[in-house]
Amino acid sequence: MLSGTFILQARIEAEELETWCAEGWLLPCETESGREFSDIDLARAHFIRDLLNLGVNREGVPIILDLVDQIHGLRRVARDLLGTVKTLQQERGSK
Amino acid sequence: MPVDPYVTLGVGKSASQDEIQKAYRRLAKKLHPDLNPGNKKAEEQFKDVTAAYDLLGDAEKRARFDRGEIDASGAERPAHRYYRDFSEGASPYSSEAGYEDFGDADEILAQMFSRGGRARAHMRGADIHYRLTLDFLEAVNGGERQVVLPDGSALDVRIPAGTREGQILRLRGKGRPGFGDGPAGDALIEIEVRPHRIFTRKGDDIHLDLPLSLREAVLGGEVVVPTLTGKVMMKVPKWTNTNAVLRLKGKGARRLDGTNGDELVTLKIMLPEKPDPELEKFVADWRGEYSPRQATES
Repeated sequence: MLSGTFILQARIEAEELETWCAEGWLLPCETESGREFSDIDLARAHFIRDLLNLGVNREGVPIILDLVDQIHGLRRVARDLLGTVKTLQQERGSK
Repeated sequence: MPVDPYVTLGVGKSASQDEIQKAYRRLAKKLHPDLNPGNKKAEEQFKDVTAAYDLLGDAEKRARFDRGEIDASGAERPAHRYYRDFSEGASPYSSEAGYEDFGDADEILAQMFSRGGRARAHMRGADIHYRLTLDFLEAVNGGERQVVLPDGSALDVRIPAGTREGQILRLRGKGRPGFGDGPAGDALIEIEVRPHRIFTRKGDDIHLDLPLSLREAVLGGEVVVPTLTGKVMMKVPKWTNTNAVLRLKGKGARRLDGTNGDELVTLKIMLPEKPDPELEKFVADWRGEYSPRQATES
């Protein structure tokens, strides 16, 4: 979706969107017709808005985003590892 | 059945709006699904808390609820997808940081990450915006400046001669890295220019106020004029008045086409700072009949 739709769906001001993109909180795809936002960007925007509503200040937002992204990375690795361990256990059990 | 929103937030009926907000924030911090990626129950509770706060956080809605005009279900907020719902696939936000100390396991992890790294394969990186403040002469004459980026790396920026306030310099490929085979974004540098002690700039022309002695004004002569590139001698014709403007061709700021603007020197006649008895006596004997205020008196 383009900026106009995004602003409506994320329920934020155009100015706010500019800041978030400039700060690197959102990384939309730059295309010929302007910025193109995905569903991930929208969900992330909701999250940022919630954080600000919770009283997190602007300096705190990128820190939290970064930590949350790291947690998602960790969780993905943990899930993959557990999957591998499970497979190994089953292989051993069937021998 | 909708529960009592006061119970959901854990506040009394007489709680102030401030207390309600505090209660909401306390619960929301604990329950926000994106802050609890692995807790499914948190989402349901967060929804209840948010719905309760939507009702009680708004003094007007709360009053209507207290009067029984609307029930606790209120208007259900349209469901939106949480950020954590996207954590499975790769995205520009995926973080692979935090494993440097794992040693040999690095390669295994790299494999895992590359398996996830399919979505949005080729994407141009984002632009980064910076501000750079230049001295007046630095902007006009151009030069090289080093900008230190937030991540600690340094960027050499060539300032073209004639750079003006508000101008944006684009450094191609110096923005955030692209994803997949996508090119990097650009660095956009907005220029601010500090004012100069004596020069001002209007368009491509440089303006300067130059003091002139009474003698130079009446008899004419050569005066030293500072320009952007150093001092030059300028001929002042005899009988030059205050506010007369002399033009030094090509001594202004560089234009895009390679030519230069001009320097415009506005002359200001200055009397000596200390009273000069000789001048006083001379003027007293002078029989000049000129009134410079004809325009303002009529």
